[in-house]
Amino acid sequence: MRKQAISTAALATALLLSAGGVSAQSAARWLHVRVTESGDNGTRVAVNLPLSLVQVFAEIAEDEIRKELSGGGSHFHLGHEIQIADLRRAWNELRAAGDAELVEIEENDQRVKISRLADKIIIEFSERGNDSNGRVEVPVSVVDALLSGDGEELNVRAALDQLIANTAGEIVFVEDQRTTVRVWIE
Amino acid sequence: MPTKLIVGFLALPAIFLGLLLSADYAVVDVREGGPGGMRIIVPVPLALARVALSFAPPEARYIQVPEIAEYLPYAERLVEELRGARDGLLVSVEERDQTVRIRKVGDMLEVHVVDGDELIDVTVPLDAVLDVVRAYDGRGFDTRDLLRAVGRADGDLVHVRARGREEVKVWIW
Repeated sequence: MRKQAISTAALATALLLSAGGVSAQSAARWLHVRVTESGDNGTRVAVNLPLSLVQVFAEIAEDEIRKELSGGGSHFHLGHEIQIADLRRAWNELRAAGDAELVEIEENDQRVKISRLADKIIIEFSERGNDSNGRVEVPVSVVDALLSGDGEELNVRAALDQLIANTAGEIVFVEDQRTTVRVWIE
Repeated sequence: MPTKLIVGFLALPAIFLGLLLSADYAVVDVREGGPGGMRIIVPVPLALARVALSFAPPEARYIQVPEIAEYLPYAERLVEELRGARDGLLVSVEERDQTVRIRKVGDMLEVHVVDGDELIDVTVPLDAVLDVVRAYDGRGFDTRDLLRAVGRADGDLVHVRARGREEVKVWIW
């Protein structure tokens, strides 16, 4: 689970880094990442980067992601396992419903719950086997941007632009018994 | 005629001496641990080192790293953005007996590593990084260009010390 938490944070950070444009106002703002393992011998990682620098990393990461995934431009295809068009329709219905529990999946000893609270989508996950759990908060505006593409495409770039340019405060918080990961902009 | 010859004869070493005095030096200072430890200080004129490199084997004159070519357009921007950013701690990784910190201080990046009882401090001038980036020719680096970039530094470059053991310091003078 610790690896999962770290990979989730790494993914979140990679997504952040892969954002394209950053508004001029972001020049003075910084991206902060903290990974803290509990215990006296736990690893502690702190990364603080000006968003203007993140923008350059973002372009590098975007190129790398483009190589990994099929598709081009600022859109990425996710294949056909998930019907993005259906997801987009469902999202349009759900976002109008206001605060609600959107999805709950239980499989073996794992549970994932997605709910909306005010302007945030909250993803909670837990695994009974190793008694771990985590939580990711995504602003609604980011999901809107993510689903602003056409057909079977996710507009990752727009989502990340939204995340970086207009989001302040905490954007990722994942914790399990041993590890806490925080990503925020200020 | 003999006077001209003498002047000419003296001019060459004088020019050479002048070049040496005006050149940047990398000073390598090695100090052995313990009370009777030996200390060796070697000043290396960077200009001479560059000339000497011309006679070195090809593998010492050129470092091939073609795989980084695609990142070159970004590298210069990264350095420029970093230069424009305010000073502060960029990266910190702490484990049980290991610490790595990278801090931006003015036009320098300061890297501080603690590994057990060993301490390593490295100061990297951003101008030097820019020089290195610009020296990349799409396949690799000419080591003479790297030496020229090292000359951008002013003051401590590398300082490695361990409790009761050898201490090595390299600075540019």
